[in-house]
Amino acid sequence: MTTKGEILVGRNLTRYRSDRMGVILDSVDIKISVGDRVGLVGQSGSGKSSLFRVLVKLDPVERGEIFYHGRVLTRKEIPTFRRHVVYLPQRPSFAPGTVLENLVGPLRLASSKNALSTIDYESWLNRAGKTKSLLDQSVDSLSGGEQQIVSLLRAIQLEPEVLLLDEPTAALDATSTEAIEQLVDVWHKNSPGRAYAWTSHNMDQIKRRCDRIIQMESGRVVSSDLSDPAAPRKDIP
Amino acid sequence: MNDPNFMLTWSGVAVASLMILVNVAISFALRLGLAKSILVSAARMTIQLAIIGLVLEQLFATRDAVLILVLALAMTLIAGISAVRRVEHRYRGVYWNALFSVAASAWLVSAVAVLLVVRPKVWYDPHVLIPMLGMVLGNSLTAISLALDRFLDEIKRRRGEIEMLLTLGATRWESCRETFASAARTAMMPILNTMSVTGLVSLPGMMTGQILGGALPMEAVRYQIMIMFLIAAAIAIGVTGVLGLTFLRVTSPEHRIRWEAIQNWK
Repeated sequence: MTTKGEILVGRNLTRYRSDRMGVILDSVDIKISVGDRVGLVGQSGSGKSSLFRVLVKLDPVERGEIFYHGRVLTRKEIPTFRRHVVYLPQRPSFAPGTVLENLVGPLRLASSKNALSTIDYESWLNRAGKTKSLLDQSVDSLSGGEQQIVSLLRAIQLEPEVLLLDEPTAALDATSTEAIEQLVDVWHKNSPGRAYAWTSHNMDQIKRRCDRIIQMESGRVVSSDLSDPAAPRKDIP
Repeated sequence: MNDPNFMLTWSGVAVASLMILVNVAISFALRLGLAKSILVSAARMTIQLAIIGLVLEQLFATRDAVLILVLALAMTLIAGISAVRRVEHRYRGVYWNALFSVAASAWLVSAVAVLLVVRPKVWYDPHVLIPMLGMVLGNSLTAISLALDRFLDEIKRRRGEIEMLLTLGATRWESCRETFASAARTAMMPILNTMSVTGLVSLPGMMTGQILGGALPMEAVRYQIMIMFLIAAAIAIGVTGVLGLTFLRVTSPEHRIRWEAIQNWK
């Protein structure tokens, strides 16, 4: 069903609103391949977040199929799949407790192959301009930028192939934005097999961080290449 | 058995009913706006109990197995419906799940009590079956209602946390386990509290009724201990049952939550 190098493919993905009076996603095709850096742009409500949620099967579709390495997943495979393709929502959530407790929590799940983290938290925190002391802090006391950093570390310690980053730097200051961009960059370059899709309203950031841009409008993909003349040049409101 | 000195007459009941005026007076004094509800509830309770008294007298006289069974089924049906009445979030099929859980738990423990513990001459002896089933149903429905309300409310409130777990590879059970346990704890807490203070702080209604009716205290105590164990078992079965069925209904085998299935009722 897929060509070599394709990790995640969505075909004809269609999802209706719960009142069935309109569509959230309308026959969307998307492909994320090895090494890809995909930018997803579009106005609020254009379907970017919904597409991410559907791709990791958090929401169902009325029509369409999702292929992971060319295969349709069985129900049993979904938890493990979600560790390979991690969706990071715009507002990260945490369990009550410290940063460290939140980081090790996912390692205790049945689908986890590693009981210990595969990354050194301290060095990753240093890369983001933070110190080890953050680990003992309560998650309630984290700033918006720190929340995103912890959420990102929590995901990348699972050694995912794909990160679906939903506006990870929205409402963050320049320093935090740079830290997040830096972390994603290091993670991506660490292994050639990795890919990410990134949604943002900031067109400059998308052009800087992504090789391919997909523009969405009212649940449809309206253009899917940076070289396309219809591709947006300005920030999306 | 019955000491005529303690026979409660209807005029005595009438005097006791005046106590409800205390509630009404407080409602007026504090402007709680509850006076009408208090009077309606009091009237309902009196009428319902009077009707069940008449029905039971008739049943005890005829001892008709079919009629007893019909009454037991009606009690179960009402308990199942009542269990959902105060639940804020609902889903399609919630009444069936509550009814099934109430019925399975109450009938199972009542069967054990009737067939193995009390062992009357005939299993449907209304003196044994009806009050026992009533006690168990009443307690089971309260616990099921609490469990349902807590589980559905918390699953909505903890949406971010539950989805976070799912996105990091949790199964649907792993993502809801904490919510499930919290709801079960909430629903089982009242009976645990009651069991720990019974005899010290409170004398349960059934025991009080038996003693006032002329039974020996130790006989009343034996019955009370038995009924407490039955209620505790029924609550455990009913709560686990309704939470399990609800979990299956509001989550999908694809390890996600069916948010669209949970609706706010109020």
